[in-house]
Amino acid sequence: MDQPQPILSVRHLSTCFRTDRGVVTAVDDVSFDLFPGESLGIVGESGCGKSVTSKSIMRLLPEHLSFLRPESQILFDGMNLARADERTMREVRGNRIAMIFQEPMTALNPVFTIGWQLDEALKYHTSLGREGRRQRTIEMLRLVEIPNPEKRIREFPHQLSGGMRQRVLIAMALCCEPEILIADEPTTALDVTIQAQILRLMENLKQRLGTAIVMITHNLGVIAQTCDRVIVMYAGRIVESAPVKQLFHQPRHPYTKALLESIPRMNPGDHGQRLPSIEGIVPSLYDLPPGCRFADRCPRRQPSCVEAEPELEPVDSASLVRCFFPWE
Amino acid sequence: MTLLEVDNLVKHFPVRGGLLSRVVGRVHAVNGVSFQVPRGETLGIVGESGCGKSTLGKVLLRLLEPTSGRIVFDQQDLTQLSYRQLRPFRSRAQIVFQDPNSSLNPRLTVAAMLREVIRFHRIVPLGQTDEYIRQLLGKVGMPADAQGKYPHEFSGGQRQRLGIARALAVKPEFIVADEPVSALDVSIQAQVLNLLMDLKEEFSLTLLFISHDLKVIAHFCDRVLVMYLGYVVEELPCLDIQRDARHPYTQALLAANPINDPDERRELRVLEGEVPSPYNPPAGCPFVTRCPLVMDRCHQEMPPLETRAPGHRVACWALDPPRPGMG
Repeated sequence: MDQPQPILSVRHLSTCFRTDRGVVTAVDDVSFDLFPGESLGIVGESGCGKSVTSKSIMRLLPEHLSFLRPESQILFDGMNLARADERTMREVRGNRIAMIFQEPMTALNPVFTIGWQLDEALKYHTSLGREGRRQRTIEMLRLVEIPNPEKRIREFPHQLSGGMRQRVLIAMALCCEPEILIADEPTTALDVTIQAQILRLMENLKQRLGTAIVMITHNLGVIAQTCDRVIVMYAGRIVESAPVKQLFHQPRHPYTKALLESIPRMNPGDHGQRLPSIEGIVPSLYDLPPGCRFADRCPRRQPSCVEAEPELEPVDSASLVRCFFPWE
Repeated sequence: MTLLEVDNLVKHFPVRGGLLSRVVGRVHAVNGVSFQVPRGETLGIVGESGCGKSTLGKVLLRLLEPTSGRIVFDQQDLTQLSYRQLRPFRSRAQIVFQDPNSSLNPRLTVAAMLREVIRFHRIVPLGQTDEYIRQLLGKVGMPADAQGKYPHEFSGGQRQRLGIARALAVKPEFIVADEPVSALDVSIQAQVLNLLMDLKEEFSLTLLFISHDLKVIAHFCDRVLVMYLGYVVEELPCLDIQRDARHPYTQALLAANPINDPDERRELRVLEGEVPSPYNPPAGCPFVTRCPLVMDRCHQEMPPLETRAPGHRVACWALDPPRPGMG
């Protein structure tokens, strides 16, 4: 049987930042594959490197402050985006790999109409004429369920609600039919009933257009509801990678398991009980321990954990875990 | 015994516009809210952005002036007091804010910040202040050497502990916690929630817990008020909220909450539309624009909050009328 070919392969991605206090490695030796039509979740807490991973793939990080280590590879359609020049990236960005951001107000330009901003992307990436682009713009807004698109294209971002702005961004991201959509905390700034609308919309669009999605979020509920496969990051490292059902039913890494347990479940039996919590805090990237980065918060810690860092290794056919003593 | 009783509380913000900055309209942030909080209870307030939950919390402590209505705290009507007369109340009721970065003074060390409140309210004799600060930091799980440091030297979770320490410093009976864990990472949220739970026990606190996260409220609170566009649409016990919720908005909040189980990947039951602007609320029930059960009557009249079971009140025309004798 033919193995499906990944549409995107990230290999040994390490992203470093030059700071006043020296060089920090925000993303440390991250490798994963994304397959066509798949939803891949990247989950972790603030500072774990999930957003930096996505911005590295898009090469959106400022070059005077950051760099990718030489061994980093981002393989997409025969190209290594880690080495690509700006001209190549402009062809890829928006057109073939699109991205939506957490805060739709800052991602939209406040002084141009919605229609103008959608039109700009089409002007750059397609050969459509003026009327064709207008048709396409309206069609895209209709696709993301914006009522009255003919009227909306003449409005400015501040005239729209948060949920509507996020729909516009999704329309903008999808207007060139990209092969990959990277969604960086797309619903974090939204209310829960609006979040549900946006998640349903993304799911429908994925079914219809076959776009592969990388969903970056800190919300495990969003991952459980939308993703096929999940990568868990902690302090710049991938600590676990597994199919979604396996991750939620049988988490292997102590961090994943503790994270899942610390979320209230609305189960009458637990009401008012103390929540299982992870004591301590994430280590500073300036001062990483020599051993496992989770060791000082880990309930399964053994002396060997603080001496050497475990590798990310397969535990079964589908999952990887970075732990000397994973849960069975 | 009732510690706090709120009666028909209203808060409108004037909207100014035009050349002469005349009042051109009003934002109806809190619309005739009434409830009681017994001593020792944890009452939750849940709702989406713009529903008035934070405004309500601030009005209760008179950090904002109410437009009308009564706030009775331990048999005293706060709305009748002058600022000077409010002082004793300030040491009995405190607030913890959502964002510890902006609610802690960046120029004060931890000790200076705590000393200020402790001395102002004369909580302990002068000579015992330092010892009291040490104890206080211990209570919120901070190391003793935190005293000489500035807020920026701490992580988000630690800063929220400091915010809690400051509220606790005056030995209050009542604390309003306004989204105290929303700015924190998941693994830190549980730590801070557990801390609040322990402190509540140890100091016999009464808590008002404001959050947009129904999971956290349902776990942590005894009872919850569900707010929508300035109105309380349902008040119910939290023990089994999934079974008991009756109002279509509460049910929608529950259904929209993405649960941590990939096997139960339900078609997220989605509420169409968005929250109307509180500047121009619909006539009748505020939920009419999105309600799946909407009827003619809903457009004309706001349904009253009626008692359906002990401790359970719902404002909805579409439900069967409550049985007589209840409430």
